[in-house]
Amino acid sequence: MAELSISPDEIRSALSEFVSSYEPGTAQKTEVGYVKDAADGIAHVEGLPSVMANELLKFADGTLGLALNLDEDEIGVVVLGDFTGIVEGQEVTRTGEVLSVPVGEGYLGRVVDPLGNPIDGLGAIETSGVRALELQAPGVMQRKSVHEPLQTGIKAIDAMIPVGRGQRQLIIGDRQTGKTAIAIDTIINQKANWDSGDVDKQVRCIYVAIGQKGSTIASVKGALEEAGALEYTTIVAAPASEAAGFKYLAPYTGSAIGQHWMYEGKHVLIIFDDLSKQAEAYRAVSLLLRRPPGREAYPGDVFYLHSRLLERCAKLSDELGAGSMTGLPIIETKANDVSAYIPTNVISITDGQIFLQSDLFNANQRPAVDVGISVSRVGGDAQVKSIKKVSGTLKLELAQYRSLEAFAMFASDLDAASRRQLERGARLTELLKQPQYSPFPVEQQVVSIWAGTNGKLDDVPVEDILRFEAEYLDYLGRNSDVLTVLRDTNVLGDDTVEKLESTIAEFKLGFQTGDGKPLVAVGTESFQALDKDEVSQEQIVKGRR
Amino acid sequence: MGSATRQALSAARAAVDSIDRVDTGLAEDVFAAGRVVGESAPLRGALADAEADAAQKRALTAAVFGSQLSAPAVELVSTIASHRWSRQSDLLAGIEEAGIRLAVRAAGSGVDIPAELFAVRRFVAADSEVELALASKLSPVASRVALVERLFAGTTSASTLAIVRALVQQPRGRRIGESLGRAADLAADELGFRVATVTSATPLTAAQLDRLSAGLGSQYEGSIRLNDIVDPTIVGGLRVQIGDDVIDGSIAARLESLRQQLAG
Repeated sequence: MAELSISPDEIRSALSEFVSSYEPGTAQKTEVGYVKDAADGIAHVEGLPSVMANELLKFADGTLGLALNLDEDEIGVVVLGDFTGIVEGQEVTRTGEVLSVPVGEGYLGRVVDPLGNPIDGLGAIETSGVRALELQAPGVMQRKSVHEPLQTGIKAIDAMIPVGRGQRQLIIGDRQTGKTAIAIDTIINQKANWDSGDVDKQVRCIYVAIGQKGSTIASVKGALEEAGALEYTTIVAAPASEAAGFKYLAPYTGSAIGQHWMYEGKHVLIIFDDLSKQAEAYRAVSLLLRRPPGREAYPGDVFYLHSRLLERCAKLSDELGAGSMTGLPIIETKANDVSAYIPTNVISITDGQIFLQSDLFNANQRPAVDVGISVSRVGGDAQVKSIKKVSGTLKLELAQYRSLEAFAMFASDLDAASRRQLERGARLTELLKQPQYSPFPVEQQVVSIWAGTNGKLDDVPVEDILRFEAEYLDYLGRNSDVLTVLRDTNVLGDDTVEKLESTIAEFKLGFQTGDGKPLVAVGTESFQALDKDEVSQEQIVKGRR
Repeated sequence: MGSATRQALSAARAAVDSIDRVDTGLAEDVFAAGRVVGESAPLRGALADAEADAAQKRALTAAVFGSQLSAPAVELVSTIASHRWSRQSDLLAGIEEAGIRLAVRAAGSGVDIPAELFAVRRFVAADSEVELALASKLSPVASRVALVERLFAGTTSASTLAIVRALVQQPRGRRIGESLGRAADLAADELGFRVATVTSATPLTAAQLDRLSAGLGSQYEGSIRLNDIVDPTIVGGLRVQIGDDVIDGSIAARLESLRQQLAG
């Protein structure tokens, strides 16, 4: 290696050049204000005359705040983060930024806080821009009617309360009735779409956890990871321990991340779990900011809080790339009371609701969807043809069953028609049961519901229905192409129905009920007695030695 | 600040400017009138009543103050009261502002009232016991005034003393530092310049201060006067505060921002 020789003069001149080129950051002119008082995550700041509404402010200790109230001589600020370091007289500076979050494809598979910072310890997130949190929802001309299905994978929902891409469907019910389970199942059911790699099929999912226990969020993340669903999901977490400001912002953060994808022409599913906790956080912030309380002490704009959030879920027109954002807000009721303030607000904003009843849940009917009062105001247009064809009578039959069931409780003697109706209803409700984390593809749902509504299950004992269904679907998959045809065409043609009829008849011959007997009596085998001379006798004789 | 108050304040300023012969006694009279209005809720209510007739309000002030105060003071107070004020507290602020402006004019050109007020503010801020004593709501007004006179009589001009005394007598819910700062701003405004507070680690030379005020003058309207503070804790560089703006080029601020970037 050649000797490296640089003269000391050269080094000195290079260094002096380096030193002279160093330019410390020039002092910027900034506006300052001072903290007047601070308590409970709220600070009042005086000064800062040109601050904007919803602007991020920075306290001297580095904590961020959000300017919510612009009063004549002070600003009401919600502190985002730890507020123990904020003291009276502290300097507050403007950042000049209206609250916004970074967005981009890098968010898939990540867990972030409501400011878009990763909290899963997997390093920085690659982003492709920022998006303001408070942006107006798409206008009338930018939208299109909802027409594509978003399969939840839950028979009761996809058959009777279908959800379309771009729809807002409320999930409402008491605590512990399986609201989150429905949402998680829906995310897991998008796995096949994601694996297909087709942008028109793929659905990016965002799960916004507001005011939940940290353990619940961890278990949701675990369930998604196990199902391989986390790779297309973003979790925005504002657990119960966070300041109220964070819980109030989390849904807007989630929808900003989702809107970015929607405007890129992609499909998005966003779950707000749950909005009643967001309303409570907003109530806390509003009361501490001394905004006048209204009904149930919620501030006057709590309706706008939810309507402007949910209005961002939309199906965009073809000119804008035909992207969509489907919203599944969750609301928790108390003692099944849907006429409280927040539930009625959100019911009126959304395009339908899925009611979960604690009575049904306790009667082991899970998912505990009350199909009687659950509705979808858009979904019918968004159902695929095959399932629309088979589920037409399902809702009606179940309604008749429920009215008859109440009547039959007291009457022992029933005519044959009523008894048949009751039997059918019991089997249909049994058929709608489904364990958690096991979403059904749409073709299997079609087959199951076809079998139920066409009386193919009437001879199967109620307790064997789910086993019969599972085994039949397995048999069907291996012995015919019906499922493939249904999946590819989404049409239930006459020849398919014929195939179904024949396969189910074949399958029944081999099915054994729970008590070990064959489902279909196979008759008896008879043999003729032998002729007399065909019968011979042998005698064993003790031999002599 | 309501639009009515804004209008009334400019009218009050015009009324102050129109007085030819000003002395400290006139300012004291106006401050005294402000105290009377502040202490009597019915009088304050009547004078700040937006619906009341201007002539009636003039008659009321003349009847209340006519026998006690000098004629120009009564005339000025009744002019101020005859305008519409958005809020009762704005009326009190208007009377106080008129008093401060009169006191500044009474001092003449030889005395730098803003600098004196600034010095008083620095003095008070440096000694927390004095700050608490001056702001105390428990001690009688007379003892607070006595404290002010004991501390500042002789070291400051009569006008400054009058202003500080008035602020201590009627704090109107503000902290003493805040009201002194506001009074200094008003005094500077009356003299036609703005005050910039410059903090440096070592004393600045006159040439440096001249360069700085020329530089600031090019960015802000009006002439700038500098109040310089030496504070070794900023380590180096300069920190300039002018109104609500801060231009912070101090080493301490840069270190702090570096610390936050490292921590974040």
